[in-house]
Amino acid sequence: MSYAVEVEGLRKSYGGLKVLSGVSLKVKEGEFCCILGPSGCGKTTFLKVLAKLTPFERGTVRVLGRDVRNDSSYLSELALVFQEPRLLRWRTVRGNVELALQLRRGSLREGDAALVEECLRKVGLADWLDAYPHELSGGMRQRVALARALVVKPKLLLLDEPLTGLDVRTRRELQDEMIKIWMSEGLTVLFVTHDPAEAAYLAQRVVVFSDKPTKVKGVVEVEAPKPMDPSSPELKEVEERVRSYFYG
Amino acid sequence: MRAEPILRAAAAVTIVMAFWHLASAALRTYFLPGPLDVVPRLLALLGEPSTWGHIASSAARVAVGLALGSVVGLAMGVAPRYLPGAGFILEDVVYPVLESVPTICWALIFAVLFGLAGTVPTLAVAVAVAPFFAVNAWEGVKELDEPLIEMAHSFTRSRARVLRFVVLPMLYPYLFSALRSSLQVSWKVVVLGEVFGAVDGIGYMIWTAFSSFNAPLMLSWVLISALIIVLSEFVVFKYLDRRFMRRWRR
Repeated sequence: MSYAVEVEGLRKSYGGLKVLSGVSLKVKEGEFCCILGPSGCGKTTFLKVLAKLTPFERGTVRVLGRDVRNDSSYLSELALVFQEPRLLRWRTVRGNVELALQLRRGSLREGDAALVEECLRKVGLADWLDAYPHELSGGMRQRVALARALVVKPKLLLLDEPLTGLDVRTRRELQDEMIKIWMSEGLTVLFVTHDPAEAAYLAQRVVVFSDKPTKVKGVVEVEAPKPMDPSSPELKEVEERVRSYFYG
Repeated sequence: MRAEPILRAAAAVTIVMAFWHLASAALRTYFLPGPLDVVPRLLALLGEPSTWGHIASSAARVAVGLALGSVVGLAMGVAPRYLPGAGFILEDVVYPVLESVPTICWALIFAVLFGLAGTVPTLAVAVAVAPFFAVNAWEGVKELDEPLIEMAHSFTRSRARVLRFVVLPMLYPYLFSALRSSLQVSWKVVVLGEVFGAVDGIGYMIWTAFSSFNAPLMLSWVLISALIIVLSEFVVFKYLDRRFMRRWRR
């Protein structure tokens, strides 16, 4: 069994405040895994450690088979979507997606235009290539952020509460799109949320974090195939198990 | 819709001309000829090919001086983000020195160092505008959108790429504002520098006309200089603002 993420005894503090206190978890390659935890428990920090955006004090962190402390090569196979879309307001939708390629490779190449358009088509924005972020709804902006992450063809996609602040209908649409993309691209997805229902609907495995100082409180395996019927008894049962760990 | 700015400009020109005409008529001196004497001289001057050569010389000095000053100023303004202590040096050492020494003194210093080679006005422009770019760039650096920079770093570890594709574009509104202030200053400094540090250009021609007591010619060159500044502000910058900068303000 090969793992996309292997974390053992991770400790991370901000000043004197201990945030992650011995977190250990593994994410299998190709898995859709949700990390569920209360607000402020360190879920975002955990993703930032994986993306090497913040250092940590103790523990072993291996991403895509490489130790993050002494090998950064895995970063070219990883993409992170933040809670806010973080788009450049002076660039069009196309320009924002191209940005990821420019940052990663230094310049655009032949064929990139088609690649960008393909990614925007996957997230349902093929007709919005030349729009600016201020002309888009919140859900559409988050789709642009998702396309920006997909365009670099990551093996591991980290999603940090990307649907927070969106209305229920848009959330469900985007959840379905994420499942579709995950299934078609063969990615490993690590999705952070504080919503037990969202975690139950999306994930093959839900890892529940405790409040600070954060540890893994429990893991819920979801056997049912994806996507699940939102009104199915199986989903209700998974939600109940997730909730029992989350609130327990 | 387009008529209003044209009417306003026409009204402003009429007021200036009327005031100038009245002042000239009241003083009755050869050294302040009225617009009726100067404007025909100006039109004749614009028909001479050598006039455009002098305008081109001054414009080239403005362009090179601005380019030099903007690059140096931008580097000074961005440096504090990457070099600890650079903020102190910029705010408490470089900026006060550049700002407290009058531009004419810089021009004199360069004239002593480089003679009349024509580099004096160019260097004087660079020194005059560098603080505008440094201060504006640094103000921009202090207001940088850190989450956007973090997003950029999630795609690359290259600081140079983040600087090029994210940080510098974020500073464009600040640099545009610096350029706007600098361009007017540049023309004024170039004309001043050319008075005693060049052998061609608008300032040199003003000095030549002044030395030969040819007031209508001197004022014609002054008008050319003023027209260039006004046109750069009302045509070039208004266009650039409408065409490019609005998307930064959304």
